[in-house]
Amino acid sequence: MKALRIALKDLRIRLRDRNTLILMLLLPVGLTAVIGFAFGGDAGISAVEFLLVSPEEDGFPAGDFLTGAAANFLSQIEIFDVEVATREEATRAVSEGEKSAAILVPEGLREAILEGTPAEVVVLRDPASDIKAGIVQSVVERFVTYASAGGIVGRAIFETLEEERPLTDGERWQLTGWMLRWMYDRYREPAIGIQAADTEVEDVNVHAYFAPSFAVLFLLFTMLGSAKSIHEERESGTYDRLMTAPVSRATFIGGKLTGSYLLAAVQMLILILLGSIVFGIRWGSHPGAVVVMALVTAAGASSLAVLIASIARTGSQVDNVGTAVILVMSLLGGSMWPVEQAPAAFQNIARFTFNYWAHSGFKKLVFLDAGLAGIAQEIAIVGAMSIVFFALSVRLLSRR
Amino acid sequence: MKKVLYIIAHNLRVLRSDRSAFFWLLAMPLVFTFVLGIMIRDGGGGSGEPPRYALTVANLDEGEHGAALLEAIEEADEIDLLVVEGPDAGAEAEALVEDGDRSAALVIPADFSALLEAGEGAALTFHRNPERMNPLVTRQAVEKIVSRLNVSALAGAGVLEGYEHLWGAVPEERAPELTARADRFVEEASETPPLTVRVETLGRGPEEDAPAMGFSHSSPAMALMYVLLNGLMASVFLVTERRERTLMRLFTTPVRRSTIIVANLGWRFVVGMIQIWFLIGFGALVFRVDWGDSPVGLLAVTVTYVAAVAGLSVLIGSVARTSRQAESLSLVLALTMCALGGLWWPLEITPRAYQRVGHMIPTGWAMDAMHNLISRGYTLAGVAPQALVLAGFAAAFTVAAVLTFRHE
Repeated sequence: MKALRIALKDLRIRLRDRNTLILMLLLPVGLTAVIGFAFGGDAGISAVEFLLVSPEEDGFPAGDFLTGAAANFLSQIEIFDVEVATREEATRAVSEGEKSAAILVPEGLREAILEGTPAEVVVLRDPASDIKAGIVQSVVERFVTYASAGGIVGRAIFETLEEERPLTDGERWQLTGWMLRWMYDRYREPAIGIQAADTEVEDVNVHAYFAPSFAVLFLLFTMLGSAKSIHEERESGTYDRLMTAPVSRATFIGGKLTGSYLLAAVQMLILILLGSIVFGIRWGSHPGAVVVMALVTAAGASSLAVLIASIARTGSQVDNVGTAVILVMSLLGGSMWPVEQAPAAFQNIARFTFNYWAHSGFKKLVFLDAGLAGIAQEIAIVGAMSIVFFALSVRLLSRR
Repeated sequence: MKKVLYIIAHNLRVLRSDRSAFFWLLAMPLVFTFVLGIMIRDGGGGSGEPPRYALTVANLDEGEHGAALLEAIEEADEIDLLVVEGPDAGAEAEALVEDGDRSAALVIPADFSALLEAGEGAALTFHRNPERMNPLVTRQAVEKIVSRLNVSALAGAGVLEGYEHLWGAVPEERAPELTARADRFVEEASETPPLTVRVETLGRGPEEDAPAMGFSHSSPAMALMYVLLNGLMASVFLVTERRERTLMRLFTTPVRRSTIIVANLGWRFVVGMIQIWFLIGFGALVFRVDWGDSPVGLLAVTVTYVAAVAGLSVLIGSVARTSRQAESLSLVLALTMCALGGLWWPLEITPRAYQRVGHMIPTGWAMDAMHNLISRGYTLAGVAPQALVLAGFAAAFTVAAVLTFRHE
């Protein structure tokens, strides 16, 4: 009972403190909003702006007309914004970063496709634009792959039939007309198609991906502040005063741990609720599993923070060591960056962090609609971490 | 001036006695630079080699087309292949993706060859883990391979249908010969495709032995981030000095208010400059980041950026009432400015409105300047606009700091 009173007192103090609330709620929600604004908002990513340059030697208006038509066609695609330019204009605009890239259409493009004569499409890239210039390059490579393939198919048909029986001019025209229609149909329905097995799954929701990762990150920071109060009580003398009352050390430690845990649970549950209200995150169809994951995560974070506090000798040491541990663990564990994009060695290291397993549990709930059975591994690992951290911190605190 | 220098030297001595300061100013930014640099290098491959995308393939087809497709996937450099075999291979591949062990899987159906030989379309099933982003790129790589195979299938079918269109039904005995001839043509023509792509990266381009882009983004970004974070956190010192009355005591001595303010800006500026140039030097020597051809341009950018951070730090220290308030305000401002200014991800991929917001704060301009120096090889004249804007921020923050500065 006394332990619970200490816990509730701590909880009241923390929840009244505006700075704690900033760390607990404002920062994770704010950063999730910023990341959503950057990648997943209604506005989407900004247009990929690039230039198309007609063949230099092509003095005929047809060249410009075709390039202009291609630019118009590409601009119909939502993410592209394409304009026609001269080579000089393109070089200047790309090198100064006004445009991400420029495509120099080669002279003899049509002959390259139809007759197999060599030609080279040049992509000018802005050195500071890694992603958008990469998208343009990828588009060009796909075009070249398909155009080359179409040309090869066409020539294969012509050459094979010519070899079989020399074609008259009339037959050539007839075959050309038929082949264009035929290829158009066949390209729409190729012999080998790829169908997605996950068509019912929505695209990656950026808010849903980062909200739990920031929640775990800032949960750890809040817990550190809470665990630090053990030292603050000792340094300010309130611990000694408390010890003059009929309160045992075990009660004091129990109260502190319970207070930390309650704060962590409140923070996680509020952040999940805010995620739904503010960002419209659907946490899956198993609310029970979401609550269990939140409570286990809260247990892990609070016991880790108390362990750090029990190892540190002063409040300032808690700050320094704890912040360093949390930042490195969060960086490696995927709370700041999608860990699956990291090299294999980093992904293996990530598995030793609390953040990785906590985030993995929430990702399964949100993206795979997992139930309790689906996140059993995460619950078991985070739960085991909590027990180990808790046992170690109780042992260390009892010795002091 | 002497008094300013004395106060700066004194504060630096105090800072030097704090061992943890070295960790936060110098070691932590390097940890972040290293990890982030490795993560974003070559799209996350981290090895300096072109990225490879994990794909699990379950080939349920026993015919030659399934084997040919598998062989083509095996030969693709960009794919890190895992083949699962056996009667339950399809379900096993799907489970690997669902459990998050693999990001994507391709199932070749049992009737794949039979369908193709019958001239009917055959569909491969692509499974992707929706939590991951890489499978989209993996799918593009698979599409590229499949399109090559489609060409062969198309050519064979096209010859037969073309024949029929021109001259009527194909004699049964001629059909295999015609398709084989078309196949041979496709094979030969595909070896040297007439249309190729050449990529020219403008600007200065990386040196031959320079590492991939990972560190050339993470190094400047983390240097700017930690200078900002540590600089703003230094606002706490001013609040502490005020609350402990040491600032007030200083005002009882024959030291002018302006001297104290300049000294407060000065020591923050000196620490920021030491920090940023240490990180630049370390980046050049250890991470082999090429910082461009203009040390003067780099100096102009760092001087104006650090001055802006110092001004903002004193401003926060002046307006905050308590250390915790200064801490919270600094953290919120620093993290938001890093995110909005393109230090965590490139501004180029964000919406226009986001880019505009990013250019209302110093980090956006500083990162632009770094890109201009590192990637485009600009000189001082090239980064002058960014340096001038940063100087404007420095002036505005300093004026605001002077106006709000209080000693009690």
